[in-house]
Amino acid sequence: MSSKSTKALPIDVLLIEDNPGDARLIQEILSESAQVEHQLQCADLLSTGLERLDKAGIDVVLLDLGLPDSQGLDTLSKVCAQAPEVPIVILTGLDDEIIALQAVRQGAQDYLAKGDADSKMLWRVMRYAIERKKAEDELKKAHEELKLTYEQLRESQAQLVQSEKVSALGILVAGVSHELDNPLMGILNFNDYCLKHTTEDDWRYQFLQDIQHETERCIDIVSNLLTFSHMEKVGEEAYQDESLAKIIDRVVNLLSYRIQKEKVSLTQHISENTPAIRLRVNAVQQVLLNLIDNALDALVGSQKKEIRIEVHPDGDFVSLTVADSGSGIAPKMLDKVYDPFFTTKPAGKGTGLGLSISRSLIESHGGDITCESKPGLGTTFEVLLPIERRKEDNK
Amino acid sequence: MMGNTMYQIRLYIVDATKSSTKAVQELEALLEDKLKGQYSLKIIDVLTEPELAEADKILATPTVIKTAPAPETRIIGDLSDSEKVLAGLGLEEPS
Amino acid sequence: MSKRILVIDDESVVRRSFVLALENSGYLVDTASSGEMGIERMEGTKYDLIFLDLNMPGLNGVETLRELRERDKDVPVYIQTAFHAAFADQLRQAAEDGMDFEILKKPLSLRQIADITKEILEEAKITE
Repeated sequence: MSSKSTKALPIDVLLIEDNPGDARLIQEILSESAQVEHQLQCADLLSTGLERLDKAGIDVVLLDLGLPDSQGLDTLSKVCAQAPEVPIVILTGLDDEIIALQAVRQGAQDYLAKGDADSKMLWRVMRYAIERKKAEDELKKAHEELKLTYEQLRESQAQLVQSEKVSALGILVAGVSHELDNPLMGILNFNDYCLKHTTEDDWRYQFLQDIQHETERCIDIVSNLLTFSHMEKVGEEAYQDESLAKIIDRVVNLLSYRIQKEKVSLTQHISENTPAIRLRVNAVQQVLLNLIDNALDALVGSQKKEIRIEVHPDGDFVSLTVADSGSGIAPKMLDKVYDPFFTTKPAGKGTGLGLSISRSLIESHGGDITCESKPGLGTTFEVLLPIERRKEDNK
Repeated sequence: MMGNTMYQIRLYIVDATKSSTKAVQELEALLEDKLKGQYSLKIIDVLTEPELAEADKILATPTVIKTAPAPETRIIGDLSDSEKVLAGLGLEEPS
Repeated sequence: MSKRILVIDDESVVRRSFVLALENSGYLVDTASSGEMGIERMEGTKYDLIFLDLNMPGLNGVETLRELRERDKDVPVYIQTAFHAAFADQLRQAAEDGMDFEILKKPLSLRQIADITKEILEEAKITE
């Protein structure tokens, strides 16, 4: 044991014992040895003992389990409840070893048969009880810390796995987009060539124009996908100036199939005086995708299907809100939305990691995400991004 | 008129090649000669920052984009022809 | 003398796009469907401009560039690729090995091919 185990003197002992003979015996044994300064207090009822414990300052309790107002292990649990940090030594009669052992298992530090008690033994037992209690408490604390660290580790591992998945998906998307490049180029160019050699009054002219238009749309979608799937890991991405309007357009474009299919009305309100800000484009895109995707999920089964995106400057920040007209989030769940693994989506549909990752990404910009919800009316997520970067973040 | 306007110019190149080094030197010499410091030149390596090139809709290197003063103009290709570059930047010599 | 252009790309779609785009340009356009064939074409013909695809089976873009540069150090070579970080490393290595080249975006429309080619080979065309 380290030197800190030396208790500050004197040692305050509380003896809870109803038998006066036994009590006197203990008193004598304690004062006999006088190596250590000590103060002994006595109680012959549990209730008195508990009162005394309530006043604090007791370093160790000598406890007889059989008391007029309490018997057996019940006595122990009451003392433990009253003073969980104070070590307890059970004083037993000759036949009580079994119950004494149980008592140790249930929270007492040690036991001592009254008949065996001599000065050396009693002091040794008390000191041991004090040290053991300390060691127990330290162990408990370390265990709590370990649990916390484990939880944090689990969360970051899950985020890592998720981000690896996103990365792998990004590589897949990039590959497919590149495969589409050439065929799309071909369609566009050959169609263009046909158009050049077709007069406007030809019945085919309009169709060729439509093909041109639709192909340009395809190229646009692929280009958005490519930008979105940049293979740089989101964490290593460089900062650049970009307008939020462009990012929003790109993401809305990507989700346009779902938006149309589910007949959602999505409106954008971007304030004209919003400055372009320095941010990590892929990171913010990912956050926005997460928020709008969640909004779309919230509207499934909803009567009113509206998503409203708003951007306006707000002091040193730019505020971006995504509001849906869904059924809202219950107040008690509101704090949990950023918890990893928390999801209200049906099994297999959501990992619950999206918002926790989104929050990390926004916080790494020096920004913030907040959530407001009114059950029955809808949910609004607000992202605040600082307009100015701190100098050391500028690349 | 020309004395007070700051020219904003971006040059997109493949930085690691010898020919680009030459192109940068020639452009800088030209700008220094004609604009005498009244310009800001940003050089962007397409290999290092492809997303910027993508965002600026660059089609080929080298490309010079003049964004200020308006209107925006672009020049692609051989930058050693100084007349061509000057014309591209709207800095024709009065003839 | 008309200027000669060589287009090296394994995709027929791309080769045909270039041919169509430059149909009335006054330039002579040759095509090759692989790096090896492109090198062969260069034996005995001096080109004024070469368009080269980056990702080809067999001899890929960078390897073709290497061979090509041994035969002609000056011809402008435009490597066609999407502007994406994935390809940057190979290209940077090629440049550091001393090979000159420029980059051309893919995909391009017929008009873009025509305009850019003209701008590279002729006097400047100012786009506003």
